[in-house]
Amino acid sequence: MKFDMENCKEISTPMATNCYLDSDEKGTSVDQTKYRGLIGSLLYLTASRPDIMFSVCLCARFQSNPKESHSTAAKRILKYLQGTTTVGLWYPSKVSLDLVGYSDFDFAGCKIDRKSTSGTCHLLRSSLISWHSKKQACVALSTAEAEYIAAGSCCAQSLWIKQQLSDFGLNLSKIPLLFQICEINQIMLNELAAFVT
Amino acid sequence: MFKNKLDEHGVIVRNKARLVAKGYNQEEGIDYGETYAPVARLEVVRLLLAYACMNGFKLHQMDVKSVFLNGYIDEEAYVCQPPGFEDHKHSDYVFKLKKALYDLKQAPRQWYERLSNFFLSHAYERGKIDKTLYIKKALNDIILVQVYVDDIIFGSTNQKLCE
Repeated sequence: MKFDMENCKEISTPMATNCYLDSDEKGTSVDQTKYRGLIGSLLYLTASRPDIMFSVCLCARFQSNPKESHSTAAKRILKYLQGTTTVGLWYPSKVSLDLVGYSDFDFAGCKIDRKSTSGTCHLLRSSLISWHSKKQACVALSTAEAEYIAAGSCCAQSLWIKQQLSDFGLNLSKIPLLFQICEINQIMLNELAAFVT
Repeated sequence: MFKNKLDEHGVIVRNKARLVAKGYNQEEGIDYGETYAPVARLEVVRLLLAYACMNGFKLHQMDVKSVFLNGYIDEEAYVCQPPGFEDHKHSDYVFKLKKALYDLKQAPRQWYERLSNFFLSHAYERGKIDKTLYIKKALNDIILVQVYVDDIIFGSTNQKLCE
């Protein structure tokens, strides 16, 4: 209503696969107040919609100088939401509890500063309870390093959830952390080698 | 301060009025000390929801009306008479505050303080890292209370504990 999009077409994904946003300095500027308002509303929705987390966070990076291309990308998210108003989180009842953490990153997805964005999520059996998407603070020199940073933040969150659950009266012993294993293995081997020598 | 509440079609459904203090005139050290107050993370609410579903216990929710008016303030604070409600005989008088008002810098903290004292005096324990979670254990039952400023979610493995 606020953004005159109530009769928009539905679209099945929040972002195009070839979507690549940069600062787009030559593009035409759009109203910054309106763009910020749109991002604010979308950020509010990310509290219950993990599926738009990445795309909203990506669009949010261009708030200081929004251009036509950014506004188009943000509006695409609205179109996506239009078609998916019925989805939500689902918490099944009476199943056993176990926690799994997942982490991934986007292979230096940001072409402006060459940083990767890490994404993590945590499932308690089949209930999704936590998710995040954040551009890493430093430039990773290898894919393994980027993976490692993502796995690190995932691990921190796992520990927090574990502590919280122990307050609820539930003690978990093992929390699997899932990521692409090949690169990390290499780091671990190297560390082991360093340790042995 | 006046505010109109709108429904989803932009129609005014309720008018709200609230007396607020001018918090921007307060000076640190004189009018207020600490202003920090913990707020629950959103993940914790989801975690509690998932946990309650899995164990099959009911969660209840309630919210506190005009929360910040409930806190007591430790500092001496004065407000001038609100416009429109002046006392004509004593128009140069000011009010001394006993309880918090909205927009006072210490209001959220004082509210947290008061609620926290209430729970602790009723044999609740505070969560180890999450200071907005209160737990009481009795034999095999547990009652969990999660506070998100003025919204309170609570549930127990034993219905009777929820009072």
